[in-house]
Amino acid sequence: MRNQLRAALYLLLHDAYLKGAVAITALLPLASALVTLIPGVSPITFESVLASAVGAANFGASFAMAGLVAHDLASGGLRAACLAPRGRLRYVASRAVLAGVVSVALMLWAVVVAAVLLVFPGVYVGHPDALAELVGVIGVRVLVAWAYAAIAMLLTWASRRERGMGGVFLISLAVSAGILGLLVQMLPVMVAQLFSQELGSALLDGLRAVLLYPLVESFAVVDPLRSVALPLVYVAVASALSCRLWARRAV
Amino acid sequence: MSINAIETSGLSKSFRGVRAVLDVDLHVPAGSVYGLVGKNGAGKSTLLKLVSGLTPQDRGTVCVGGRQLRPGESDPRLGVLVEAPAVYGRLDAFENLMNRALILGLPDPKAACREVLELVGLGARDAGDGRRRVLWPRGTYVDDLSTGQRQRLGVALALLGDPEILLLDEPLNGIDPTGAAALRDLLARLNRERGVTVVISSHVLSHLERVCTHYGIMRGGFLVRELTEGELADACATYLTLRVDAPERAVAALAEELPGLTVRVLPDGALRVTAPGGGEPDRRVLSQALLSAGVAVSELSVSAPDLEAELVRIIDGREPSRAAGDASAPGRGRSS
Repeated sequence: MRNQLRAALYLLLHDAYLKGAVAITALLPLASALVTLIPGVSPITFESVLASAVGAANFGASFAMAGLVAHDLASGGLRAACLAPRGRLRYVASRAVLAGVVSVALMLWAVVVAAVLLVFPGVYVGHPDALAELVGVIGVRVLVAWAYAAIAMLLTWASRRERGMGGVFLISLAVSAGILGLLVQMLPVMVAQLFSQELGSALLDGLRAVLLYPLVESFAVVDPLRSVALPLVYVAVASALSCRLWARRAV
Repeated sequence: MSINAIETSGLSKSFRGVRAVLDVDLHVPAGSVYGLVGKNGAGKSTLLKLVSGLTPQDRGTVCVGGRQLRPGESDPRLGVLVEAPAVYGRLDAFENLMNRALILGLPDPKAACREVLELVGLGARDAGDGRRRVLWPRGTYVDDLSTGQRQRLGVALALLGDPEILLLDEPLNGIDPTGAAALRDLLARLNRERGVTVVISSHVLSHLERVCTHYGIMRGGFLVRELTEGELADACATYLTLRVDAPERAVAALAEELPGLTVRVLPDGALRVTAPGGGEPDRRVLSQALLSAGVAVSELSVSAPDLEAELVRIIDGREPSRAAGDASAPGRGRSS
């Protein structure tokens, strides 16, 4: 496992998708900070710059990991990982663990970028007393980004087809922007509402409780236990499904 | 009792209802160079993928060094090149090797990568002016390498980690004649000096006949025959075909006078005579023996089938010339 993880990290550091994720995480908050330089535009808070950077990092983690596994699929390189003791299992496990590492690294990068952007005259700290709470928010965002990356990898693997940059971008966006979550929620709710309004409402509440995107709707920790446990459950389930997918697939 | 390096039993695999490999019982002796031959689509690559664990089998078992593998499991003693090399197109050759070396957990991955690159002729060479020149194109994406360079890289990847068994599927494809000869020599050297068992598949028989000690012949997904280099050589031995007026008397006379010869009576009454060791029987001595027995020879011809022709006959489903349809009288020349 350690060997597979080292190799996965080596590949990731040579991968263009990671560079793209790092760039996106920096460019999005930079753009919002640059806007404040335009005369007449109102200053913005550090918290909103940070939210922008963290949102980009959230997407970036899915983008980097889906891109890495797309490269695994596009070439015969995947075979190098499978041709090792317990290769298939360790291949999936190494990618799952690496997704967590990438999520942490990109979130830290997002915090650094947001802090650096404080040098802009139009960026100021809105709530100095609430800075400590941001640590908890960032922690939850790391877990959610990890879960999204695990889902994005599962979808890329399951698609079986070689994905280019466009495909990876769409998968990452659909997962990390909550589009997929909304679809998963709305479709059954719409069907349920055909039969009963109450059933539709109950289903909506039930699904919101088990979906990830409500956890990141606001820049605050609403339910600490659910915010920690739910992403971890998603990582575990996505990894288990990925293992099952690879257990008998020809490479 | 020696353990086969690779042994399969009833190995089968279908793809969407199309049977690719059927009930294959493969026996690769340890320390051998095993040539897997067959036409395109015969199932050679699929068989190697099943053995290497890249494709899980539907039925049957795979044993490597006596250990049975689970479907889709790969044995660390295997070095594998099946179909295309296992490479990332947007990394260079060295980076691809580093990835594999890290997966294998080699203690000094950079040194190991340099060693295998040199082994396959992609490493640093003395430029003649005392300086070492790097031949492998560092910084060039593998996607931009020539077919031959990619193939060499594939072999280098298979050699990483000093595998005990090499599974190579068409390793000489796209490699120039000089490179192919060097690679063949390398495989023979690894087999001879390090005892590496090599399984090499090809539909180009000339690639195999200089190195292989054993052969497995595939046709339509079946492993139709396994034979040793010696058995194949026997099948390719030079032989005489004689037409005589009294075949039975001729067989008896030859058995009496020249007991070392193998005499077979063909369905059309002609005699086929082979000498031990595959050499050509002495025509003068043979004629004298028949003459003294009062047998008249009306026709005598010499045939020397080559290895490739013999293998092609088996691959095509035509039995070797001397095994098919012959009423054989081996040993002391008995007729039937």
